[in-house]
Amino acid sequence: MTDPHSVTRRGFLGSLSAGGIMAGPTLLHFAQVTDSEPQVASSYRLIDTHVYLFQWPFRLIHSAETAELVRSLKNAGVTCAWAGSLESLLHRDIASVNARLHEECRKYGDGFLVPCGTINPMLPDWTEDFRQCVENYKMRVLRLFPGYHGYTLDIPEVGRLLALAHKCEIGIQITIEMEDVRAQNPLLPVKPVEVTPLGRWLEDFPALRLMLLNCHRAVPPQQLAKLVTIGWVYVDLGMLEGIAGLERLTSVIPIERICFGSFAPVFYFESALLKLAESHLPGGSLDAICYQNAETFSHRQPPYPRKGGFPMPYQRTCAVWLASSG
Amino acid sequence: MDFSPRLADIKQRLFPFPLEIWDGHTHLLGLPGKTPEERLERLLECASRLGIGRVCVFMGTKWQFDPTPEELREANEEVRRAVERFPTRAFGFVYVNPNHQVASLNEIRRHVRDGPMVGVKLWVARRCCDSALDPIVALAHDCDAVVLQHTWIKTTGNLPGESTPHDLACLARRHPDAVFIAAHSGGGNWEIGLRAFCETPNVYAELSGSDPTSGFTEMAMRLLGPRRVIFGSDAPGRSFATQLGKVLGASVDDDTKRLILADNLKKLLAPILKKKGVPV
Ligand SMILES: [Zn+2]
Repeated sequence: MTDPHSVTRRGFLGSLSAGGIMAGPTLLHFAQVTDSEPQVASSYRLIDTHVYLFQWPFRLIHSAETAELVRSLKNAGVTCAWAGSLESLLHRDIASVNARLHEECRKYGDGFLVPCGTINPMLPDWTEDFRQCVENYKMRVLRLFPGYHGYTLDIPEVGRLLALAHKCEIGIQITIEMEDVRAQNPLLPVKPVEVTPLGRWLEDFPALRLMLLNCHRAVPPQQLAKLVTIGWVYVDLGMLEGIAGLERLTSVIPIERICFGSFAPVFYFESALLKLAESHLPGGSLDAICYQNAETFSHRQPPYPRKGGFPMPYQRTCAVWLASSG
Repeated sequence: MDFSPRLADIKQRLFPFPLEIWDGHTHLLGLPGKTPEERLERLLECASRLGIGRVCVFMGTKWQFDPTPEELREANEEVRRAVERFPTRAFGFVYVNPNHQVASLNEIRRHVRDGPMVGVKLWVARRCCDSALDPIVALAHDCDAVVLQHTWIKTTGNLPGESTPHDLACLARRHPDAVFIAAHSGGGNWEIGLRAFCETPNVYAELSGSDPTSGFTEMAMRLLGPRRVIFGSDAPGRSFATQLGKVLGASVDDDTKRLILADNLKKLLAPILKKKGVPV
């Protein structure tokens, strides 16, 4: 009997092996032409790049029911939410996790929820999960959980995965941490992810889009600034702390690399929205943070031109900034 | 500055009804400014952006786990200078150390009994169940001052002198007439911390200084009722935004939000503020 998926699967793997870790033109072409996410007609757009569906393993979250989450995000002004699955943390059958996420977003989101599937490169045959996410579910952004899946970012499989994302123009989100280590269940301590190895991959894959989620406690500002000079590294607002945090963050990295991301419903959504009002930012910054940068990250838009912002390419400007900041 | 309609829209969504906000927990360390007054000015400027009208502020411009009498004096002088510049917006709490009992009592006399401060701050020098705290609490109570004690439960291990909520409950039972604020309410492990205060009606759970994890405010409400929960930020180390989101984002009614954001703290501080002639 013929496996209905076998041709797609063989073609996909063939394209991988033909160039070592190169993706084939079919997949690349697909990623460029697919546009399942509807455009919002209104000029008001707020893309929340860091949201989760399903239950947090450690406590019941009031707004975690998908219908309720969608309702509360829409009430708060969100026009599109990039949703990962909290099942990804501990489940091992990642293919079914991604299938449920895709179905839940389709069922409740009505285009509002954009599923961000999970890839665990420690699993055998993870490339098939990648193919399903990109080809079957038409995902443009995928999420990694190295801390919960037990790998560091320097292993060769991470290189393979990022190479594939680079070729397919898939944005990769890496969750640096999910909770304060001082507040974790003692039976399940998970350390923040060490991001130093990313420098090498960013040099190897210059067009790769990476977004670090919940990075602000674990990644020192100078290290973040350095990564941003090497490649297309973006951050969300999760775990950005301190008074007027966005003012401080924009003195370290360009506004063009900062995306609104709330980490809801694990964190109270309002905590992220209030950050936009706590800082005084240059004119135009809010639109950049609220949706323009997210669109650039997910290859929906080329970078928006910004008056007085960091000119393109960023590398030179940031290098100058780093040199002058001591 | 970005004063686009978007900012107005965000504020409208966050504050659909008028709210008075008092922040029960702020510091001077980590703010720009050459003087304590300049630091406090910056803190108040950022607080105003989110509608926070009044703040309680304590400890000086350095972190000292186990301060000497001289360091206590210096820290309290800095806070006093700052709050005297903004007497109706910032209320000082005197920082004391139970390892230096005589010096601590003198600091309370100087800054609370005879000065403008309205509360006593205890941090991590000695666990608060210790009897060394008894004279400090007694004097604070005589002055109508509230006692704010840091409490955390760290999965990674507390500091040797760092109190847990259970330590504070033990102290509060020994002083049933004194009023205590449990700073952080156990911190990130608030689910364990809040349980400690169910049987101590003289302890108020304060929400500052941990990640804005969903459910914190709702559980505090469920266990302690709406009148024993107090908003605090722990700014500038923490963001006003993240901490305020714990209340504005909570699934509780608007009256409860009003109690948590201002009314409960106002009620605790009203007697001493009145004595000092500060309009409430
Ligand atoms: Zn504090």
